[in-house]
Amino acid sequence: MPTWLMLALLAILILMPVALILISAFSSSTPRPGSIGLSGLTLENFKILSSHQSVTALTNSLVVATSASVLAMFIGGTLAFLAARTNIWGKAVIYFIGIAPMFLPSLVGALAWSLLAGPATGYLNLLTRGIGLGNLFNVYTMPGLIFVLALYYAPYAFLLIHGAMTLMNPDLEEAASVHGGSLGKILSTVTFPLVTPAILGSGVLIFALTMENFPVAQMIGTPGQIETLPTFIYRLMNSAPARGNEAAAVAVVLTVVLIAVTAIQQRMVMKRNFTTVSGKGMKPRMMDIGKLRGVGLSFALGYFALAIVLPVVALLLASLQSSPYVSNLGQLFGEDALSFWSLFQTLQSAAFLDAARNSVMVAVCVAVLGAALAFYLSYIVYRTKTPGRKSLEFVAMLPLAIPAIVMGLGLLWTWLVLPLPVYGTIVVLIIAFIAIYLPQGYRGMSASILQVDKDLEDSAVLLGSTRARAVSYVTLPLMKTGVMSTVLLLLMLAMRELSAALFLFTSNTRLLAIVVFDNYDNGALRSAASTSLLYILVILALVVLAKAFGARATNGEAR
Amino acid sequence: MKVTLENIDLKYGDTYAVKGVNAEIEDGHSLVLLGKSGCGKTSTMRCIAGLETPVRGRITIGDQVVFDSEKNINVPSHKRNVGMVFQSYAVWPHRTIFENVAFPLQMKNLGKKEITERVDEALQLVGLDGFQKRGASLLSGGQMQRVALARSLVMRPSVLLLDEPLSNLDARLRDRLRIELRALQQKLNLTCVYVTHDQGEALALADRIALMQNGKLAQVGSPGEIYENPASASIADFLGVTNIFPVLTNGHPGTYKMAEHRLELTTVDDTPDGDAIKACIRPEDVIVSAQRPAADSNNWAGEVSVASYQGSNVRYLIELDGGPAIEALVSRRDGPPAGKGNRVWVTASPSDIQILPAEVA
Repeated sequence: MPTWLMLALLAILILMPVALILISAFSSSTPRPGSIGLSGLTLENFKILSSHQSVTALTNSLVVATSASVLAMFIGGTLAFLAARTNIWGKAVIYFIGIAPMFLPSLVGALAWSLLAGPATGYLNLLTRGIGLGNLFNVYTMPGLIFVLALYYAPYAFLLIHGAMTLMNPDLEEAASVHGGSLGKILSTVTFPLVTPAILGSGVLIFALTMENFPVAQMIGTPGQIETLPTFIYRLMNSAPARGNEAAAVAVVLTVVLIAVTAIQQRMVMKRNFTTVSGKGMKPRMMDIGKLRGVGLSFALGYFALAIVLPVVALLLASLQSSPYVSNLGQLFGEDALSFWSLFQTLQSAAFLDAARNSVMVAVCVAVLGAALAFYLSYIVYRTKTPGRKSLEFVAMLPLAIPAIVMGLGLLWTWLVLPLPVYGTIVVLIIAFIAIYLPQGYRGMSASILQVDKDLEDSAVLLGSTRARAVSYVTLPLMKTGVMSTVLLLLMLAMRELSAALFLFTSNTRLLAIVVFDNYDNGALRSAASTSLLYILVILALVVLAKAFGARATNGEAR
Repeated sequence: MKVTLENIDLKYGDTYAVKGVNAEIEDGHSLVLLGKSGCGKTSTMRCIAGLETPVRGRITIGDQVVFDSEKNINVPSHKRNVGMVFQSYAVWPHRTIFENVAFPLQMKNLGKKEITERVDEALQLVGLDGFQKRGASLLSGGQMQRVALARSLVMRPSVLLLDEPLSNLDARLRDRLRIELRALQQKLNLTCVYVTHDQGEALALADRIALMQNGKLAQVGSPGEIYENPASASIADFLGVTNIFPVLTNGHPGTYKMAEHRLELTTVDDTPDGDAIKACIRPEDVIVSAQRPAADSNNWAGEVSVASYQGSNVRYLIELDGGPAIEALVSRRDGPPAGKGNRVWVTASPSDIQILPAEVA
């Protein structure tokens, strides 16, 4: 495939949706078949930005994203330090706790926490009421929203910081030790400065991800009347008639904020990327933290309970309880209070089975096609001297700075305008997910291609093989782990995605995430809970399957 | 086969990596491209392999023109029948040794029996017989180098390219393989092109040496010619001549004044034109004695500032009175070594002092 064809593909996948959002923001009509809505250019749409609602939404978004990323980094960073650099017991367990919440979509986490800590009926409130303390919890508040986001974004901080800490050359610290540094001094003058780029980088990444997060904001924030930019965009699009042009204007603002933040992150990562990795095999020093081991272990277990155990228990209770309303915990222990009826009902329902099939189909296609596209792109960028390859890279990385919900909107308009019968089919979901996760796929593939010495491939060509044959005989087999990990990453991301699908699904192409979201929206909590449980099981099954093919779960995660 | 490079220009972006390189390698001969890192030697080699595309010039291997910028000929790498041993060896770690070496033959679609025979033969040649089934990731550096060599030899290449073939090996293995490589090249009558930055390696492996500086050929000749008659002071410096002093003509033919010093020196060398001329003296040509020598020129007194015992010889750094510091390499046969602070006399024969321009014009 020649490079210009690749450029055309990326233009349709990424540039056109972005362009249509921009055009709509300055237009009085939204794109529709036969028209991209260029008529009637106006600045009218931006008036909405001065409204009280917009200002509140922007402020809320900034406050939520800032606090959630600080909290997430505290959790993830502490766990990473414990797992990577201390003599704590059960390091493998700590590592597992650090990444496990990734396998729980934030949508499901939000649902579980609204079941746990809903103001009157949450299980935790039932518990505290039962022992006479009254209702203590209300997750539908600003702190609640921040807390839930931090819980499910802490793994990103964990992965990045853990990576930086394990790759650190122990010589650097030993040098400080030889020259007279105490443990505290070494930590403060060598260890932490060296991982600063990773810490800052993950902080900004989490800020961007929480800022654009829609499911948690919608499920926790909206009941508590806390609106953020993504939920504001969603509300504008869902009002009758849809206020698409104003939604586009808000989307432009959200995107500008994220582009600014992402640019800062990229600069930090680029500028302060200390090479602490050398080719030699090495083992970082483990620090003796003595009595703090107990504290550290309790911290990790506490996090695990809050992020995984309590939510899963809540989902189980909610899907097993026979009566939809429970006013005290005692009710749950009565005869016939719990049954698998609802769970089996869900398992057999057409809605669940169709959605599960759609989800798996979309995720597998996105993983395979997305990885193939990402490989081809990284090959062009890192293995050829094609002119314009840097602009290919730029376009491929662009979706990183564009919120999924905004990309979803842009893709909706793109496929309404393009004269291909794609809109309303499952194909449009596959295309959309490939587009929004191209940066992650591209990162994974290029990291992996860079690890394979170019000489290995060139030597096959000199020994008489064609370039394509050399790639398949030498380069791809050597990249196997990286390729499989990228496939697994894309599989996971596509399985979890809700925001980008919101404007693109139809009643025939519902995904599991959509079913959960719809059930919750309609108040069908039991059905939402049982679907969520099965949803988690499907994700786990896919992960186990992918790992059997040699993928590593944590390679090149969303950096 | 005979290899010819004509007027090769290679550009990376706007800068020339290789400029106007002409070279001819006779059939069965070896050419060593010698120079500092970044001088364009590896780039030149990669042009022969077809891994880089020059902007200008012509490359011929045997009777076949493999590259010609004017006629738009550019034979792809896999059809050039060029063997190459990469600096990293590029032995595929996920394949066995047999699979590595058999690859070029499989690409030629040879039969199983012939492949096995030729692979065995090649492995025998490099001394790895019996290693066929081993995984390539478990080899030592020297073994990897042999696998890479066998993999290239098995295809019976028109020309064999070796990029820093010995640089990743330890010193003793390097000495042994140097001789083995030279013996193999002569036995198989292979046309070889080596790239190295190590002058000792170049002298040992080459029929001819092409010395490169800044993307251009600075001097081409037999190892003896290059060693005895470097074309410039910077080439002499690169070849291990450590005593290089800027000098000025003082009107009398054959005598020069050392710049910034009072000392004079006498030589039989012709005076080259140009302002920047330098006197070059090999440390092994510097004679150190305790008494004033009988010679009537180039007699300098000085004091030993460093004496470094090296087993077969001693290396001195001597501060000349009113002059520069000079390095001398003295055989241990020449009596007990002088110590730091000893007063000594230093002399050099007029025929051992070369007056060279700083750079090749």
